[in-house]
Parts: sequence; structure tokens; C-alpha cells
Amino acid sequence: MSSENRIPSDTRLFSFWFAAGLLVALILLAAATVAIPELLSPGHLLSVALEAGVIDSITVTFAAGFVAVLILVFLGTPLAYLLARGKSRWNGLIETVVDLPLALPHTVAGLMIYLLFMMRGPLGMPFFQVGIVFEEAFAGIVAAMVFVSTPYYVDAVREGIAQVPERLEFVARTLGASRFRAVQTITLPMSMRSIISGAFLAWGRAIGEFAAVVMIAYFPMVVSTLIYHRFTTGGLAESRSIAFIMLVACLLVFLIFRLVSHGWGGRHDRT
Amino acid sequence: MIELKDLSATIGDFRLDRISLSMAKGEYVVLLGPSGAGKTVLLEIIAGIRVADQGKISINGKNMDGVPPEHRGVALVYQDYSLFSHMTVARNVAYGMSMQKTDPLRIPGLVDELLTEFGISALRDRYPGSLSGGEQQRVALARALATKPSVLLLDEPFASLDPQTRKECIRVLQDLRDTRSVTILQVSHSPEDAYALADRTIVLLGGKITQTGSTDEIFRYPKSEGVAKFVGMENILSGSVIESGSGHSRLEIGIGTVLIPADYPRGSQITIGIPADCITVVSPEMIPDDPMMNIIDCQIRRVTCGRDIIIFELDGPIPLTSAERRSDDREEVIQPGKRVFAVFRSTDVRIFSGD
Repeated sequence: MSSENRIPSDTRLFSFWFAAGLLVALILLAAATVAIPELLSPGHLLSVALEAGVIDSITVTFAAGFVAVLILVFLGTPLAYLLARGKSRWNGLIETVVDLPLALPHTVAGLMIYLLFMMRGPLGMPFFQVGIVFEEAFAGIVAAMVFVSTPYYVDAVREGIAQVPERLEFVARTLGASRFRAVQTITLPMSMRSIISGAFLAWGRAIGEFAAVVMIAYFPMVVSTLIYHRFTTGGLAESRSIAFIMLVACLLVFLIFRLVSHGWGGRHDRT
Repeated sequence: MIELKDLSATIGDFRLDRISLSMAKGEYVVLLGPSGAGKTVLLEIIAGIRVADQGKISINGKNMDGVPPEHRGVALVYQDYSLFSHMTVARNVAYGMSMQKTDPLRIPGLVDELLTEFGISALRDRYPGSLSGGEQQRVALARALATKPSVLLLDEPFASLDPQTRKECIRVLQDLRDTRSVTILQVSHSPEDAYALADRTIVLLGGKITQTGSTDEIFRYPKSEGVAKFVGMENILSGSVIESGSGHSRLEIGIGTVLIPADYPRGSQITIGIPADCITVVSPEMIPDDPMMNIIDCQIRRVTCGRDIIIFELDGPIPLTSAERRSDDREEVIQPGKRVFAVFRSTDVRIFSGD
């Protein structure tokens, strides 16, 4: 009866389903290759999971990722705003600079970070003089993470801000808000979804970084370093257990993100 | 009260050219112009959102050079109302008051008063996304007036409304005009808005103010060809003077002639307009005997019936359009192909100065 309201299925889209299915299957298969053997030997998995080294490493990774995102929120949000609103011809150039870490091989990024933040480096030296060391230190991990995840955060937030009509800020100003207050009370709250999703993307990128981190700080070991270390010294089974633990942890974090961001979306359009 | 002096600006393709305008306290001015005439830009310059290249703005006698929008006492309502979609109606209306550091304890009471005045108390806790166009407009007006601005700028406030809601919203603004002494500058491209609301109407064409006056003056007696075209006057024609004397000239247009109510030297090129409703279509036996009448032998090419008026397009020595009020006893004239005479007084001919 209501069949005319339904879109007729089109068999010609079969090739799309096939291509899409292959890609999804590849990701699922890769996850299963790690997950199935681990789930079949829960005793080993548990013993690895409770190792102090593993727990420390996951804590360091998540914490450094969190600090990196915090830095990005404070420094990257203003940058994203300026890029979204700016009309200057320098904008394109600045955007290219911000996106540079996306294009660089991670070892190149790592080398840049190392040279900049090593104790004799142009930034490492003044920080060293006030007692902050980046080499083989938590601060070094954070620096590398900030560097590689900047484009993920800034691009997401910039796009979100660009979707908030500038006219809303104009109206806010005619109602008595200074430019700063207008941004603070109108633009940023309306971009909250992009800010949160940018933060999660950046965090995900940050905790996954290996090459850039390892060049400035092999220790304390982030999870990526630990997995590589165990892979080269202890063997496949050990590294796979850690990989599985990370897989579950990341899955949980992104599920939470989905729930949080779903709550933010479209809420204001309802009565 | 508010005074613009020689305001010029170039923004993208828009150009404003030495705009001067002064408005008295409580005056309602409608600024008419086609899309792309720079009307919104002008409002944004007055509000301080954009900067003019030249010229001065003063509000209540104070020069606005370098005064930011938040300190001008000017409220701006955009065409799309630009409500803050993440805030309830009440918080939208309260926004300006909290930015202006009104005592927070007094704000809810003031908000309620405004919501009542605009008949939107029931919408208090709704979000803008769920409101109709007319409701959004009332919220936008309440929000703008909450800060007690000395000037209210309205950018095409009815453009996106259906005809019914549009009538309602015009009534809201009429009430506002009659009950509060706020100075209002509204931009529009609609004659109805100007007729319904304006104390004074201004036409902005090509970035320049081309005519100022009562709405009736603008529409009935446009001073230039540009304004005449913009207000939709029919029968805009050009010709050269072939004879003149005693306060009249005869103009040769195409292969016909038109008598106009002014003396011009022979050979002058003149552009005139004849409002369609000043032209009567008569059958040959009804031709009036009056030397001051223009009488042009025509054939009806097309007849278009509206609800209230009937439009005749006429072929002849001079192509003309006539509009008459509909009446039921004239059915015999209206067939296309019929020979008729177009009759209009010479004094109904509008003579345009060059633009």
C-alpha cells in the first residue's frame, strides 16, 4: 500500500555494496585476528593485562593524549576560529602549515620534534633551564602528540565554526556583547559538537603515535612503543595481548564519544 | 537623532555612494531598493559591523567614528532573524540585557514583559528551531528591543514569510511604531511594506539615494527613469520634442506623438512615463473631445485579468499598457484584435530628469 513511498532497491548498486563490504571486512578481519586467539586464552591475556609495565604504559599513553588535547583546546581553538573567520590571503598559507603534520612521514615529524625539543634545541634549551626536560620524558611524549594531532583538531573545529553564521556574532554585538563575549557565548557553544569530535579525533591520533614519540622519548614507553618493544624482544603473543587490550580500550572510548556527540547533535531543533 | 553624512563604501560588488540621510526620533523610514543595491551593507555600516570608506554617522548627536557595535545603541534584525539556536526563546530575549549588565534579578521580569507584549509567552522555553517564521520574527524583535536601542534596523523582515504571516508581522510592526518611540530604518523591496509602515520612503539605486518622499510620491510620481522602472511604472518612453508652446510640448515617439505638460526647446530628448492606470481604453464612438487629451489609435494585443484589475496590452503607433479596475459591464471591449483608442490626459504624463 505504501510501496510508492519506498525507494525501490536498485541491483546496480551491488558493486558499491561489494566494494564497501570488502573494506569493512578487512578491518573486522584484522581485529578478529588479534581478538580471537586472545579470547581463547584468557589466562595469558589477564596476566599481561595486570603487568605493571603494561598498566603504566597505558596510563602514560592516555594521560599524555589527554594533556595534548588539553593544550590543543587552549591553543587550537583560537587558531581554528581565526582560520574560519579570517578573510586574509595568508589564511591558505596558515592552513597549509597547520596541515603539514598530515603529509609528513612520522619519522620526519619525530626528527623535527627531537631537534626542536632536545636539551640543546631552540625550545629544549630554555625549557631545560627552567627544569623542564623533553628527552625521554612525559613532556616529550606530549610535545610529539600535540605536533601530530594538531591538524585533526584544528581542521574539525575550523569547519564547525565556519558553519556558525557570522551574522549571529554581529547580532550579539549589536545586543551589547564585545567580540570576545560574542565568540564565547554564541560561536563556541554552537560549535561544541565539532570541538568534542575534534578533541576525540586528536586524542585518538595522539595515543596511536609511535614514530614521532619514540624519537624523543623511548621511555616512558607509550603503548605503541611497548607493543613494538615486546614484538621485537618477547614475540608475537605478548605484543598481541597488549594490542588487544588497546583495541578494547579505544573501542570503549569511541563508543563513549559516539554517545556523547549524539547527545549534542540536533538537540536544539526539538521542542 | 540619526544622521548619515556622505557615507561611501565599496564592499565586494556593492558600492554605496555618498549616502546622506537624517531621521528624526520615532520616525519610520523604509529604504527601498532592488536586491544587490547594498541595503544590508548600509545597515551593517550603521550598526558598526562594517566600516565605511568615508563619511560620518552620528546617533543622538554623538559621532560614531570608532564606536564598536556594542556601544552604539543600534539593534539589527536580519532577514533570517539570526536567533541563537542553542538558547531558548527566553534566553534569546535575555541575551542583550545580560550583556549590558542589567541586574540579573530583574531580567526574568523584563523578559516576561517583552514576551507578553509580542504575544509569545507560550514560546518561552522553546528553541528557535521549532518556531514558525512569524514566531521567529517576534522573538527577534523582542530580543532587539530588550536592550532599549535608540535605533532599530530591520533587514527585509518579511522576505521569507508566507502572505498570511506577512500581514500579521506588518501589524506587529505597526503596533510597535504606534506604541514605542523607537526610530526604525527598514530595508525592503516591497511597495506594500512602504505603504503600510513608512513615514518616509527612500529609494536606493546603484548605491545612491535617488528619491526621498512619501510612499505615494515615490510610486505615483517617480522623479527619474530609474526610480520609475524600479517601482514598476509601465509605459516608459523616450522621444524628441517636435513642437512646443504655452506650457506644453509635443513629443514624437515611434510613429506617434504625445502631448506633455511642459515647455521644452524643439529637438530635446525627453523620457516620460505614463502610469498604466491613467490610460483608459475606449471604443471609437466614446472618444472624448478635449485638446489636452492624448488619443492614440490602437489594437488590443493581449488582455490579462487580475482579481481587481484588468490589463490591456496595446499595439499601435506607440505600444502602451493600460490597467483598469475591473467592472462587469465592459466585456465587449476586451477581445484581443479589437480596434480601440488609448486615452490619457497630458497632465498625467510624468517627465523624468536624467538619472
